[in-house]
Amino acid sequence: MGALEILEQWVKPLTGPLQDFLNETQVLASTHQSSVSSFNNLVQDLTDTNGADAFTGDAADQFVEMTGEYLTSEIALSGTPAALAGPLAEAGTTCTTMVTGVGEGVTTAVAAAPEVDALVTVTAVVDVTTVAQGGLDVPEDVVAAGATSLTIWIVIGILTGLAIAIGIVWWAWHNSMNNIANSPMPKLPNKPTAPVPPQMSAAAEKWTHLYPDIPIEYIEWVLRKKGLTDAEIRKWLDDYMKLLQKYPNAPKMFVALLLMQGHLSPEQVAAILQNYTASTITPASLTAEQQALLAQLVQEFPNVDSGFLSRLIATNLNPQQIRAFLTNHATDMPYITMLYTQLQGIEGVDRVLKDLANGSPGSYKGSLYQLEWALSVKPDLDELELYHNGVKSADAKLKDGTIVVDLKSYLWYGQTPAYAKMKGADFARQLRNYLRDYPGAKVEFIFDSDGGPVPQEVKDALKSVDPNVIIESWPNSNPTP
Amino acid sequence: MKIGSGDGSSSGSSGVKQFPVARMLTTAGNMVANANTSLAQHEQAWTRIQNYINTFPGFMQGPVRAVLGAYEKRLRDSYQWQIDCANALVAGAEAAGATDTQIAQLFTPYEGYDATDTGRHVGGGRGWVR
Repeated sequence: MGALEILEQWVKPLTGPLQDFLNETQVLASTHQSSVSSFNNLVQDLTDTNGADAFTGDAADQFVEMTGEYLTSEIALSGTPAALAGPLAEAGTTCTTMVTGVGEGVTTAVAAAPEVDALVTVTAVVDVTTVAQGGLDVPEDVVAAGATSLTIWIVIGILTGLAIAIGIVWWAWHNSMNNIANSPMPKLPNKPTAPVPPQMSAAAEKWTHLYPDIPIEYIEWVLRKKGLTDAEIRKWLDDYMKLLQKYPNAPKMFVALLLMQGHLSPEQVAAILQNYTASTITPASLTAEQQALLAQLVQEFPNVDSGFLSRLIATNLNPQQIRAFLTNHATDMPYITMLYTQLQGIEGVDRVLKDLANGSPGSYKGSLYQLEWALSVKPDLDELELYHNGVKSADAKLKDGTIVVDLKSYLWYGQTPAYAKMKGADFARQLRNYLRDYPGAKVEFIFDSDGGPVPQEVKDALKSVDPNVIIESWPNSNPTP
Repeated sequence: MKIGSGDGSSSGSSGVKQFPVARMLTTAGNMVANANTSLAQHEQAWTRIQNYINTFPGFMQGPVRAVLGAYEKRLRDSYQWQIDCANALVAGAEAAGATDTQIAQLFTPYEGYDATDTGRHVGGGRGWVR
C-alpha cells in the first residue's frame, strides 16, 4: 500500500459519508419530483381543453394558476429528474467541495511523506476525526504508541499540516451547511382554495349541462339580460339550437349575435340565415401606404378580421377615425364584421361602412340599423347609399325599383308632438326631393321599431306629400306604444 | 347596445367552460392517493437516512441533520399542500353539484320555437318588413 492509499484510508471516516451524501439522500428529492410530476399530470388531464369533460373556464384558470405556482416552488425545492436543485443540491455540492479539499490536503501530505512504515505506525494511533477538530495532541499519542524515531516525528509534522488543511475545509463546510439549513426554503403557495366560480358563471355552467353544444359565453349573454325568466332563457337556448340544426353552415356566433340583438324574432333570424352566403371578407385592394396601415392595425387589433380592416381602410377614413371606431365599438365588432361579411357584395355597402365608422354617434346608430335591415332584405336589395347627380340621396334601392327613401332610427318614446311635427316636416321635404329625383318610383320610409310607434304627426306630414308613400316599422311591424 | 364577446374568433367549443363535478372528484381522489404514496415512500427513505447521518463523525452530524431536517419538513408540507389542493377541488365540485341540483329544480317544461321554413321568407326577408 502506498502513502496515498494509506492517507486516503486515514481520512475515510470523514470523506466516506461526505462522498455518499447524494447517493444516500437523493431519494427524498426523486420521490418529491415524481410526486409533483404526477400531481401536475392530474391537473393537466383535468383541465385539458382538448379532452372531453374538461374542467375549464375562469375557475379552472385560477386553479391552474394556483397549481402552476406550486409547480414552480417545488421545482425550485427539488429540481427535476434531469437536474437536481434546491437545498439538497447545494448541500451535495458543499460535501463534494469538502471531499476535494481534504483530497488536496492528502496529496500535499503524500508529497512530503517519508517511509510508508512510519506513516502506517502514526496513522494507526492518530484519529482523523480528532485531527479535524483541531484537538489532537500528536506527540502524546505517538509516544503512547512507543514510536519515537526521527522519521516518526517527520510524519507527525506532515499530519499536523494535514490537520490544519482539514480543519480549514471542515470550517468552510460547517458554515456552508448551516447557511443552507438556515436559508428560507422555496415558499409554498397559499393554502389552496376551492375553485368555486362566481354565482353567474356557476349558473351558466349548469345550463351547459342541459345545452352542451352551446358555448357558455352565449349562455352568459342570455343570463346577463335582466329580468329573464327560466322559461325565457330556455326558449332562447331552444331557438338557438333549432336554428343551428336547421342552418348548420352558419357560424354559431353569428346565429347567437342575431338572436341576442333582441329585436329580431327567431323567424327573422331564420330568414337571414337562409340568405347566409359568405364566411370570409374579400380584402380590399390597397395602396402601399394603406398596406402599411393595415399591418399596424392587424397588430393593434388582433381580434378584428384583417379583411374587414382592409375594407375600413379603403373607405379613406383617416387612421385616427378607424382606430377610434375599432376601440369605441370593440364589443360590437364581431356583430358588425359578420353583418358586413354577408353584405360585402352589395353596391354601396362600403359607403354605409364609412358612415358607421366616421365617429358620429347618430351616424353609427343609423348605419348599424341600415346594415341590419339590408341583411334582412338582401335578396331583394340592389344598392345602398344612393347618390343622385353627385349628391347623397336615398338609403337604398330595391331590385324592383322601389326607392327606400330613408331608414329612420329615431327614438319616439317621450318626445313631444312638437318634436314629431318638426321631424315630419323634415321628412316631408326629403320625400319631395326623392319624388323629384326618382319620378314614378315607389317610396318607402322604414322606421326602427325599437324607437316606438311612428307618431301620427310624422305619418300625416308624409302622406300630405304623397298619399302612396309606404310607412313601415322594422323589425317589429307593430311596436309597443 | 349590441352584445358580443369582443373576440371575433370565439366560436364552437373554444370558449366553452365546464365544471365537471364527477371528474373533479375523481381527480381529487387521485391527488390524495398520489400524495399518500409519496409520503409513505418519504417516510421509508427518511428512516434509512437517519441511519446514514449516524455514519458521520459526531461533530459533523449536526450540520447534516440541520440541512436534511429542514428539507424533509418542507417536503412533508409539499405533500400536505397536494392533499389540501385535492380537498379544495372536492369542496368546489360539491358546491357546483349543489348548484346543479338547485338549477335543475327550476326547470319547467317549455314548448320551444320550431324554426321550420314558412316559405314566405324564401328569396328574401322583405316579408317581415311589411
